[in-house]
Amino acid sequence: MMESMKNRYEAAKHVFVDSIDIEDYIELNSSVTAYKQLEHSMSKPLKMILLFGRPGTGKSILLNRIQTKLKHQKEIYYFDTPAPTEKEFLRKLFKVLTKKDLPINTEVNFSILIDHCKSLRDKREIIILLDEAQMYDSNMMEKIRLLSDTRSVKFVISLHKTEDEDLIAKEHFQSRIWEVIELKNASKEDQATYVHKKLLKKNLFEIADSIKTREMKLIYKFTNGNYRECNKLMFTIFEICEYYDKNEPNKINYSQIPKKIIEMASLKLGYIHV
Amino acid sequence: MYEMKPLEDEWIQYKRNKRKPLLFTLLFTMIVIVLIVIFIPKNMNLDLVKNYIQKISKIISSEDNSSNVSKEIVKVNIDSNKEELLVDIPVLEEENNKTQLNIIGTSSVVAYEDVEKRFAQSHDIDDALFLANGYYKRGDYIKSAYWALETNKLDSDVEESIFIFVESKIKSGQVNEGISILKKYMKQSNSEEAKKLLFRIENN
Repeated sequence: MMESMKNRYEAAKHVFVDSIDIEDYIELNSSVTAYKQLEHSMSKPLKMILLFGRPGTGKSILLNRIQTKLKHQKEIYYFDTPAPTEKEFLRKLFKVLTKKDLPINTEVNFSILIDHCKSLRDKREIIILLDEAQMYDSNMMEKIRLLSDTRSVKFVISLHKTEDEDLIAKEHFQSRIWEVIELKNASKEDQATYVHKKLLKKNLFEIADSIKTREMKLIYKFTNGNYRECNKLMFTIFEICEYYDKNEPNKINYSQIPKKIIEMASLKLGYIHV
Repeated sequence: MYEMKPLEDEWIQYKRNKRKPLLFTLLFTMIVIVLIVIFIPKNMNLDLVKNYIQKISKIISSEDNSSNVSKEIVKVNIDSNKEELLVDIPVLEEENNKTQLNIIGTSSVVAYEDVEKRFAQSHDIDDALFLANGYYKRGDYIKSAYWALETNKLDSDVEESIFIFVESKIKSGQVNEGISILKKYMKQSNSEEAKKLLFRIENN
């Protein structure tokens, strides 16, 4: 068993590299619910849908998954990082809406773009998934609102949940027809399933088995069920395991991830302090 | 890859800090236990001594059937004439909720002060009479008159208090006042002892 565990810590570490790769998506009860809710909202005649949640609750991966799943049925686009300027943003929108690249040294005339969208009504149903929408300024948000009013473009706006962003949401969407889907941190059980499923997906059975319920509770205590924090902690835990495995194997228990290593990783990440 | 040694040291420090409150609690509990172990036997011994004293007091009181007050003879030094006199100091039983005094081996002044303090709480007639008698024997006639009066306030039938009061007045030069009080008392009580005292005063 010891030999089989060796070198697996490195693989386990890479399982928890934070990514929004659809391959890394883990189906959990809560994520299935959120997915169905979003899919259902998108089928309704809404102009805007607000996807809300603290960082690391899985908003980006959910948007990614829904785009991957629905791209053959609907005209759906995913804008991951916001364009640095309004000009760039409009250029991206122009490409999506006209299916043409904007000629070089040309700027988008927004009112013409609006007219174009109006002409698309009942012909095309475009869904744009806007991730990290808290980074758009109020002018851009206003333009998004005007575009959604044409009813040919539907926006799914993903926002971090903070007080300021609550204000953004209120200012721009209060009078709009919109629906809110809130993503929350994982429950203790969901987080344990998430960790296990991630490892099992890469055939790391022994390692998955070496994280016992008590240690899983400790991981939950330090990360509060946040997927991003959980990924970071698991990555660091396996990095420490990898070090001991290679340099001081007498300090590691292969059948059970020791509490000491979880605490060391938590110290390293600042979840706990001396 | 991290430098593992500093991280390990940090973890050791973290564990130490985490254990501190637990250690303090343990230490406090241990101190409390040690204090209990030290002091409980002492209290038990005190109880034994108290019980022993109570038993002795009962035996003494049963020997003296005259009253609930037992008496102990104590040597009192009188500074004024430097004579050793035997003075009876009443030792009260605990059953009567009266404080017991330990005046053995103390000077007379301290003994009288102790009885005065006790009287302030107990208002016991025996204490007042003891003080009246004691001060009279010591030649402190003002105090003896005062304590004789205190005794009389508590029980006007105690003849001895009248006699000490009268004699204290005469000794302090107030002869007419003393005689007049004695005569008043004689009229009320027709006491033979009072008559004898008046005769003695008039013939001295």
